[in-house]
Amino acid sequence: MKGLLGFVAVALVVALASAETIAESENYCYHDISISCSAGSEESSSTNCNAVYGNAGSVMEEMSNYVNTHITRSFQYLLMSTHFGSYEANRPGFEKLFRILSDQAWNHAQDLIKHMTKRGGRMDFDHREDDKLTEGNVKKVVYELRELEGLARALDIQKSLAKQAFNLHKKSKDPELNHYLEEAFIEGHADTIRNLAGHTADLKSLSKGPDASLSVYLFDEYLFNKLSG
Amino acid sequence: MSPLYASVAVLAVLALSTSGVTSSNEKLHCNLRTANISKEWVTMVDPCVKAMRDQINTELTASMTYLAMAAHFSRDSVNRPGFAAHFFKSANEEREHAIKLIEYMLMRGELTKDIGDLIQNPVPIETAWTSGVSALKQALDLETSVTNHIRNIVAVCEDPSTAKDPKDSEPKDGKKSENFNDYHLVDYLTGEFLDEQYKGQRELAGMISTLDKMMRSHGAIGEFLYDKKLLA
Repeated sequence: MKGLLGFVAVALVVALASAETIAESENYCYHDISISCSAGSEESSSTNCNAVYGNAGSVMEEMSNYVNTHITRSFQYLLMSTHFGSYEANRPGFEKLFRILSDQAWNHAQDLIKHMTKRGGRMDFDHREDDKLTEGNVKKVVYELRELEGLARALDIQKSLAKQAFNLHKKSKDPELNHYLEEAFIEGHADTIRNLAGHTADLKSLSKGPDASLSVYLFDEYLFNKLSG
Repeated sequence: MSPLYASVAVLAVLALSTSGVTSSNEKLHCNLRTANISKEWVTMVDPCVKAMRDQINTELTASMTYLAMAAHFSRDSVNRPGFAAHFFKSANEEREHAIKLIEYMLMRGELTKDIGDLIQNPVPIETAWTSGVSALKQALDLETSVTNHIRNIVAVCEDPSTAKDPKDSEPKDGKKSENFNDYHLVDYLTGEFLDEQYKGQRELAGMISTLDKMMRSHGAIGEFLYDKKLLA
């Protein structure tokens, strides 16, 4: 009796396992290829012959949005840099700081696209959420900023980019993608944010006199030399 | 001069910040005095400035289209890393052009206002292509249209009264636009930009020529091999 029960149990396990193998084989590229090769069909439905694995596919929309955000930010930084490069503002240090941030956002956008396509994703240039950074309900972003305001805006932008990376990390649950995000984005964000916060603290304390023109001039010189080094 | 200068600057900053700490109750003064500068030296005229501002968007739209091409050819199902690398490079070049135009205008005393209107959300013209050669053909069309735009700027900045839209040639801010031949800008656009445009167009036309000849009878292997050539 006991022997019979054991036999039935083993038979059941074997049956289940083979059923699983059949079901699973439909997820294999090899399965697709062997069907289309034997059928001699022109173009098979090789749906498994791609780079998709793990959970990265579930956050590709968010990744597209992250790329588009970087592109928008890159252009915004470029405009901030432009403002400080005019003869009226004439702050080469600030011009350079925002130009570097613009270049960085642009390069990050490209790097993200490369990684999305590495993981079998597709970049969607239309997928973009509203710009949540503009103050209050103001639709139009102002770029004619004072020096301290420029630093404040940059600090906010970098924090929002860091937050988006955290959200992606939380949602993806894909070890490879998360490792990439940590190494290529999250580590660098901490440095950039700390630098900008430090600059803001300095310039704030330097702007407390009756006329901060000299302090801001010296601070801009310091920024320029630091960023040129 | 720079290390000495920097150390002096740092010292001064330190001195100022200590005085700032002692008087931390003082209010923030973010508004700085504005300088009184004559505008006479700012000589670019409105139709010419408008044409230059438009060109920044034209360059960035081209840049975004190249970026979309690069993204397309990077896909696992397309797998043309050579084409992708080529178009990533083109996207960067077009962005650099836009920045060069901005830097030129800053040098001439422009872009002191309406900065927000300068870049108007550039998006790719298309986002999928049927083949490498079709993307290269669109790239050539794109460059041809950029070249035409630059030629139009040259014409407008040489003789602002020829601006197509009569409203453009009306002086705003009392700036006289008629008969201001902007020699320097015209020379810059002709020497720097048009030179690069024509050389770039020749390169694209050559690429299309080579690839297109192979496509009819050896499409798959032709594009595969050419992609590897672009990667080298």
